[in-house]
Amino acid sequence: MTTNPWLIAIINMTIVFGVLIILGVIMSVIKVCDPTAKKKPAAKVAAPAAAPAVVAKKDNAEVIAVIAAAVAACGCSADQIACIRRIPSNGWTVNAREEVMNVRKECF
Amino acid sequence: MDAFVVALMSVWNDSGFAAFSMGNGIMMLVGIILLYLAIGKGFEPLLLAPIAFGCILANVPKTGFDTDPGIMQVILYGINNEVFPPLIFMGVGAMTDFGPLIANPKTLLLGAAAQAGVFVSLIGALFLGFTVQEAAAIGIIGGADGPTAIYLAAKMAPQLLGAIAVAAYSYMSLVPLIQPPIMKLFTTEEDRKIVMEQLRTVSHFEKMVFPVVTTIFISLLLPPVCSLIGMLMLGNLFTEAGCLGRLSDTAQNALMNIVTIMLATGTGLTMKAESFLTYQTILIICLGLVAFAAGTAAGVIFGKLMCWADGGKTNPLIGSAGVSAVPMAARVSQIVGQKANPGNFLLMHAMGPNVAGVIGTAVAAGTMLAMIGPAAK
Repeated sequence: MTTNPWLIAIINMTIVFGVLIILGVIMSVIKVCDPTAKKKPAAKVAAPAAAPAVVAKKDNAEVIAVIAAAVAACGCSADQIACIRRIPSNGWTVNAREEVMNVRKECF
Repeated sequence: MDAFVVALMSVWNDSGFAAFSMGNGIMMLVGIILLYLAIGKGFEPLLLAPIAFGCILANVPKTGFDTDPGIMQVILYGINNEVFPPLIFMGVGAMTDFGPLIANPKTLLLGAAAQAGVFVSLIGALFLGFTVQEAAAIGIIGGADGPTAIYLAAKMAPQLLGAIAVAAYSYMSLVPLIQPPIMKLFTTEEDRKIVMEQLRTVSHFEKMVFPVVTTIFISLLLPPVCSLIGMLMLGNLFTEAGCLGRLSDTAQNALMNIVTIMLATGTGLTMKAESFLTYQTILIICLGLVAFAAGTAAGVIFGKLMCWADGGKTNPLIGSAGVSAVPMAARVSQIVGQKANPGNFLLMHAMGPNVAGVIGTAVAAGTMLAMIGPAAK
């Protein structure tokens, strides 16, 4: 067993970096091996206009009512809603997580 | 009349008052001050309040906590035999989202860099005359990870457990005061304004495989910390599995609260006057501050290096979150970044190094246990 403080520090720091770098490599391998990952589209989808038509067929009355109420709460009229589209980012999820972390007061 | 006096004297001699020392009084005062800081000032009340009350209880003479079987013996057993820290880690794992780390694995390096604080204080402790085991236990305060600090102290320096636990939790509650000046010292206004790209979405598959593979790899490499890493990842698996909601809920709420009461009260019970009121305690408190400051500085400096290497895509402020203190350190990165640029949202980016810091501290603890070995019992 060594008692040289510099040697202990250098060896430990090297091992910590080494282990975490290997974990990073493992994460990259997991990402590559992910069978559920979305495949990139082979060809361009020719009919982007078809999506709104499918959406229109669903009975989204409840969702529309909630969104209209939220817009009304912001001081706007529901008549001013031109269209409702899901934004590509996962902003709501991120926002919810941030809120959870901001509410937690303790740390361990 | 004589019999009455004899009985009265007997009651007095058996009472705690007869054996009450000045040290006990001072430690009770320390307990009351900690209680005020916890409840009156809101410094980590969930942890500091039971620690403070445990400190008051520990300094009542003739209680027999060390010798007579009872609840206090159970609590002390859990502290001294590595029962509570792994259970706390399970709750932490259930509350942790490894998504930001998996989405941006290079932040692992920031979690590793921030462990420099551990080794700075270890070197300092060795130069101040502590044994190598004691120095390792003191150094881990810099990891800003309470359960790991208690875990390592119980194995390597049980006589210093009270001072180390109090220093670790005190500085963790002071992270919002300690870190910002250091973060500003090592960054420019332009650095702090850097807006980072949105993280990619991490798939359910990745979140499921990560805890399993990490547990197997780290446990095989460093068996002494298998219980810590294993429980951390088991708790995380409960949450990410999607079909173990009840177990996840128990791990992060009911069980976490019960174990927090036991762990914190038990930590307070180790704060006896004869072992706490020493010159060593003052040194440990000072070394803990050095460890926190050095860890924060190392994380930010490494963040600057990363920023330089990737052409300004990384905000160096997230480096300070590499000292664990989940999620307080990440919140400090967010607050300091938002002061420089109100449109900057660094919280999720800082969670990467933050949870990497938890793994890094456990790895550092395991490495020191493997290299130096536990204290002789």
